[in-house]
Order: sequence, then C-alpha cells, then structure tokens
Amino acid sequence: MNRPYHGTLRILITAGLVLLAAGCTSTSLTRPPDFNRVVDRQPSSIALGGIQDGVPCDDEAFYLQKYLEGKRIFYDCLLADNTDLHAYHGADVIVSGKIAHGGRTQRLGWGKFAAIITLGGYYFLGGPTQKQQTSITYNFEVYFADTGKSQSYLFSDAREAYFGLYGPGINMERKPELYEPGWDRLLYEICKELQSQRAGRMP
Amino acid sequence: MIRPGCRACFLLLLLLGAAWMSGCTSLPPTARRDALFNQRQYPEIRKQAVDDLAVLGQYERNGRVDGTVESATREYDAKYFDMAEEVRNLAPQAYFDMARVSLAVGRYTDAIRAAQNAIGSGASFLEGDEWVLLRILSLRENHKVLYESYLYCGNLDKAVAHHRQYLLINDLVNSMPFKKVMASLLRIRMTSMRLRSDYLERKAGSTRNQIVIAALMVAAAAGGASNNNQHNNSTSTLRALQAAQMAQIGILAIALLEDYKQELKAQLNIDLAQLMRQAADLNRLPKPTTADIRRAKMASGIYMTARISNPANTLNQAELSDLKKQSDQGKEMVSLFIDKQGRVHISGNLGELVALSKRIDEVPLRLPPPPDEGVDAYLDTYLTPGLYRMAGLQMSADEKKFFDRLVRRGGQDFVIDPAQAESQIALQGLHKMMQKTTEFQSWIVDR
Amino acid sequence: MSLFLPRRAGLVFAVLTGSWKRLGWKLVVLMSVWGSSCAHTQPWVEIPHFQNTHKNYRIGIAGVYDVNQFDFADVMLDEMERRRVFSCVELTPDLAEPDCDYVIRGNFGFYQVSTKNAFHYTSIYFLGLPLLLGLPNTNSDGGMDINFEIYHKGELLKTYEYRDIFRDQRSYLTVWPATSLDAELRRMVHLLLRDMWRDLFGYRGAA
Repeated sequence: MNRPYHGTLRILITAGLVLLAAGCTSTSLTRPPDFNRVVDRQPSSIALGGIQDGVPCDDEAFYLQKYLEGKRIFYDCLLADNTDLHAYHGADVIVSGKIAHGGRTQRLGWGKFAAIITLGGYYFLGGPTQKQQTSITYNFEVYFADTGKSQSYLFSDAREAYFGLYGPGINMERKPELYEPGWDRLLYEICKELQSQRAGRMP
Repeated sequence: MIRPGCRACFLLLLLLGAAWMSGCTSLPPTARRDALFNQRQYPEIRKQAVDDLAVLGQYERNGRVDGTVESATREYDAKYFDMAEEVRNLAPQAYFDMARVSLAVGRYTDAIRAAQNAIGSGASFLEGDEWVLLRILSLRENHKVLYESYLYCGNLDKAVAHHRQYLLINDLVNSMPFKKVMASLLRIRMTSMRLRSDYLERKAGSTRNQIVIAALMVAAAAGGASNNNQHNNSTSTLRALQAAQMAQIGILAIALLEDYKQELKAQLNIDLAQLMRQAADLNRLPKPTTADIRRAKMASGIYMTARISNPANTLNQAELSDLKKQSDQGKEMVSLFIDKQGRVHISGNLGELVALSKRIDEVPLRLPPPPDEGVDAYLDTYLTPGLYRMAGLQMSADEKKFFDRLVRRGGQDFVIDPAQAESQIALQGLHKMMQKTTEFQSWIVDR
Repeated sequence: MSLFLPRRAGLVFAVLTGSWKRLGWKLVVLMSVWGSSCAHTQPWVEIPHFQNTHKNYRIGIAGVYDVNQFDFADVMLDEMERRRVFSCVELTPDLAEPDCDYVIRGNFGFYQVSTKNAFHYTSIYFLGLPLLLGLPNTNSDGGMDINFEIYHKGELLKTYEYRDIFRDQRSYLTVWPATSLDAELRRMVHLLLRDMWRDLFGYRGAA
C-alpha cells in the first residue's frame, strides 16, 4: 500500500530538484548592506552627460533619468547638452560614462541527454539545457560641483543563468532593466560622497 | 417571441460596431503622440517615447532595419514602404517627441539633448535617398526646438545658428523642385498603404476561401461525392507578388529622387546631400550674421508679446531703478546652509526674495513696444541673452504656491527637509529664484 | 368590404408594429454608433473662440500651395471671412503689400488613401444587402503637413507649422461629409487663427 505513495514522492522530489536546477542564477553586482541607509533624498540636482553602451543609436541617459526620477533622490534630474556638459543647469553632480556589455550562451550536453532519456519530461519541467553568461562593465565619471573634482567609479556585473524551456530566472539582456544594478551602485556611491562632503563641511 | 432574439442581435451588432469603432478611432503610434501633445498629456508622451526607444535593441548595431520589428505599441513589417518609414522614424520621432515635451514644460537642457539625439539618430536611420523627406522634415522641426531651447538658456549664438538652419530648410521644403520630391514620396507612400491594405484584405479573403473550401470538401466527403475544383489563391503567391511590387517601389523612389536632386542643384544650386550633412553637423554650423540675429529675436515669443503690449503698462525708469536696488540686495536677502542630514536651512528675508522673483518674471512681459524704424537698437538694448535666460527660469504654478504659503506663514528661518513630499518643488523653486536674480543683475546693469 | 379589422388581427398588427418600431429605433442608435468613427490628431477649434475678437488688422493671403503648386488661397480666404476675425482679408501676390498689416503664405502636403474593408467584400457574396445596415465599409487614412509664413512689411515675422493625421471610417449610409482636402485645410486655418490670436492680438486690436 505504501509503494504507490513512495513512487509518487520520488517523482515529486525529482520534479522539485529539476525545477530548482532550472532556477539557478547568480549575479555579482548586488546592493551593499547599508544601501537603504546611505541612499536617501539629497538636497542636490544631477545632470546626465553622455552614457553610451554598445548600441550607438540610443542614449542610456534617458533611461537613467527615468530611473532617477522614479527614485526621487535628487530634486532635479536633467540631461546636459552634449556639446557642453556644464552649461545652463548649475547642477551639483554631473555624470557621464560608458557601459560595456558582452556575453555568451552555451548548450549543456548533460541537459540535452536528460531531456532525451526522460522523453522530454525534463525539458517540459523546465530543466536547464543552456547556460548563459553576461558581463556588464560600468565606467562612470562623476563631477561634484561643490569640490570641483571628478571621481571615477568602475563596477562590473557578472551574471550567470542556467535555464531551459522557460527562460532564465533573471534578466540577462533586456534593456534598460539590465543596467539597474549598476545604476543602484552609482547612486549609492554618489550619495555616500555627498554625505561625506557635507560631513567634511561641518564645523 | 421576437424580443429576446432582437435584443441578442442588437447587442451583437453593438459589439461589432464597438469593435469597428475601436479599430477606426485608433491612429498610428507616432500620430498618437501628436494627438497626446495637442491634448497636453506630456507625462504620457514621455513614457511612450522612452518605451519606444527601448525597442532599439532589435535593430542591428549600425542602425539597419530588417524584417519585422515589434515596438512597445505595435508590430511593423519593414518591407512596406509606409511602415518602413514609420519604423525608421521610431527613434528620431521618439527623441523629437521628448524634445518638444521638454520645451513645452520649460526643461530646456532636456530639450536640447533630445533634439541633438533626434538629429543624430536621423543621420543613421534616415540615411538612404528614399527617406530624404522624413529626414528634412525631422531636421527642420529639431532645429526649431534647438533654436528656442538655446534662446531660453541664454546662448544667443547657438540659438541664432539653429534658427538660420531652420529657415534654410524651410525655404528648401517650400521650393518647387523639392515639392516634386515630396509629391513623389507621398504618392509612393499612398501606393504602399493601398498595396498593404489590399494584400491584407486578399490574404484574409484567401484564408476565408480556404476555410470554405475545406469545409465543402469535408461535407462532400461525408456525402460520398468528390470535388476537384480548387482555387489556387495561396498566400505564398500573393506574398511573392507583393515582394516584387515592393521592390519596384523602392527602385522607383530612388530613381525619381535622382532626377529631382539634379533639378534642385540646377535651379537652386543646392546639393541636397551636402545640405543635410551640414544641417546635421551641429558642431560646425555657419556663424550667424546680424540679419540672422535680428530675425531670430523677432521670431521669439518675447518680441511678439512686446509688439502687442500696452505702453501704459511698460516698466518705467523709476521701476527699473527700484528693481535694480532690490536685486543688488538679492544675494544678501537669504543665506543657505545645508546640515549633515541634508536639510536646507534658509535664513533671511525669503518674502522679499519671492516678491523680487515675481517682479523679475513680469519684466519680459512689460517691455516697451518696439519702434517701427530702428528695431536693431531696440533688440540690442532689451532682448539680450540675459533677458531670455530670465524668461526661461519662470517658476511653475506649484513652486509659486509653495513659496506663497511659506511666506504667509511668516518668520525668518525655514528648513526644507529633502525627505518631505514637497521638498523637490521647494528646492527647484529656490534654485530658480537664485539663478534668476543673478541673471537679472547682469541684465539691469545696462538699463 | 368591412372597414374594420377583426379584433384579433388588430391586436396582432399592433404588436407587430410596436416591435418593428423598436427595431427601427435600435437600428438608428446602432448606425449613429457606427457612424461616429473619425479621428484626427489636431482638434477642431470651435467658432465661439473667435467671438468678440478685436478686428483691426488687414490681412493679405499670398498663396496656399500644395505639392503640385496648385493654389488653395480661396479656401483660406473663404474660411477667414466666415469667422470674421480680421477687418479685411484679401488675396494679394505681393508679400510686402502696403495695404496689408500682415501677409500670409502657406505650403502644404496632403495625402489620403481609401480602401474597402472585409465587411464590404463579404457583402458582395450577399448581393450587397448587409451594406444597408450602415456598418462601415470604407476606411480612409491620410494626413496633412502645412507651414504658414507671416510677413510684416515684406519681412518674415513668424512661421507656424501644423500636422494632422486622420483616420475615417464610413458606410454607405453615413450622412455627414467625408474628410477631404478642403475640410483639412479649413481645420488648419482654424489652428492658425488660434495662434495668431495669441501672438498678434492685444490692446492694439481694440476696435
């Protein structure tokens, strides 16, 4: 009487493991633990210069502006003139930079084998048959008007996902959401710097 | 007995009518943003334009458009000329929509950036001869946005240079040889629209026929009879025919344009390709002349307002002196201090600063009317870059309301906490007031 | 022959008449729902906007040309005269006409494509009878791009540009006129008058 029960249990455990394997993802650029404490509303305005990635015909600054306006950290978020970044706005922070994005996808032999021997059951359960790796490097130049100095910030985000029929569990290539971790980190660094500048000015 | 059936028919026909109406009252996506702009729904336009830009990942890296493109709002098949026009114009149009929305709400640097990007993306997506009409119209409207934006940012040289380009392109578009280009391209666009509509209609008809034939065959088989008559209206035949027609249209467009480019060169001494290259090269626009400066200033909204102003309401010398005295104290009116937590402490006479700001806002509206003769001297005296910059720093209605409320509360010290809901409005308004006072000081010095 | 219907027949007749009347009203409602099917990106600026305006400008119209250089200035003249905004509107070939305060010149491009829809083609198989229901069978897509130049004493003062894209659906029973070049041009003239009112009328316009 217990055998059918054990058999069902085994199938369920296997299916669960397969589903778990299908959701294997990793991303290296995560929020620092004190992110929510540091990233807070600032009495500053920010201007965005050119932020280019590999696709030349779109300007990432427009997406970053929409993102920053949604976060409501700065009281004004402007786009600077391409020919003169510092003109007309009087912003406290000016950001420009480059984003390099590359990746590769490879098929998993053992995944295909598993799909064959289970007559497609493994595949339809979403078992991983592909591995995708994406690496994004952010190189930002931030100018602080109060000190008159620029600082460079370099972050990289290495993402890996194992997936099958139902696609990767994290965003591997869809812009502009793909760049949000980098923007989060940039925001964190800018807020930290502004706070330390204010602390430095205290008597 | 008739009633239940009648009610059902009525509802069915009403639904059909609604379905038809929803199809016919929808406009093409780019036209939808035009309609929204005329209704002043600016946030919605920005959202749609940024969503459309996000579709650019589907293009090849060098801006080639291939096959079917799915934008945020619709699917385009680039082999049809009119749809290819629309899909190539997606990025330039999205940037231009953001530019004109930014201009309408007074965000001039955003407008400059968006218009620059529109011109840049037009250069890559609308490079071919068959897109010359779209490209010229795009250049014209973007140069106009750049002219107004630079004017209200206080950069007269760049504003005039862009205004000059705008007038040049306007003259070209209104010239007879270019109208022939426009006429041919409009005819080609209409032909493409009709072919696409006919193709879709025949495809739907062919599918319907195939369904009917299949049903007949099933019925005949069930009845034991056989039917050997089959219509050969396959969609693959239609598709081949359409592809040939589309190729013909593309060749025709380029051939016609070659003829008219020669005519443009002969009649107007204009090399179209060179003109567009020059208009798109924003770093090397020709230096404007005195006549260009005069035209640019006279086309501005401030000049138009001054022309129709009431001389009884003009700022007199006494008022100007009073304003000058007030603005000299501007920097000492308030002092700002930002503490460690980011709170902004304002101490001083905020009420006076707000009152001065309101009076400065009135200055562009109370200029003396220009004379009929000797208008250059008037323009040099009053319509300076500083005046335009002041006019461009107008506070919004929310900002004015906030500071009026603050001033009514009274007191000498105020604290703006960035964590509060209205802090953004407050800080923006404060920033504008301080900048405006500085610009006014430089303008009033010469009065 | 009796002039009176039998009582039962009379009742049946009354019931039938009532149903057909109700059906007729429903059909009218449906047709008006189907008939309201026209969309433009530019609004139609209504006449009351121009009431009580000051009339103190003499306007000249130097020409309103389409892409084939045909002149439609008479349409613009007619529309401006109907709205009675300016004290005088006349046609003039001279951009520096001394009798006119402002001279207007326009250039436009217009296109319109009409196609039949699936309902029309299906109706053919039913001898065209479904078309009498008033369902839309013709779809019209088009647009107009226009540019007006205002000259003051021969010098270009200001330009105004408008673009309207429209879509229109009609049936054989639609009673109001279709979108046409004439109607579009008049719409553009209304937009121009709205903007000229904003820019050119002031205390000086007081009659």
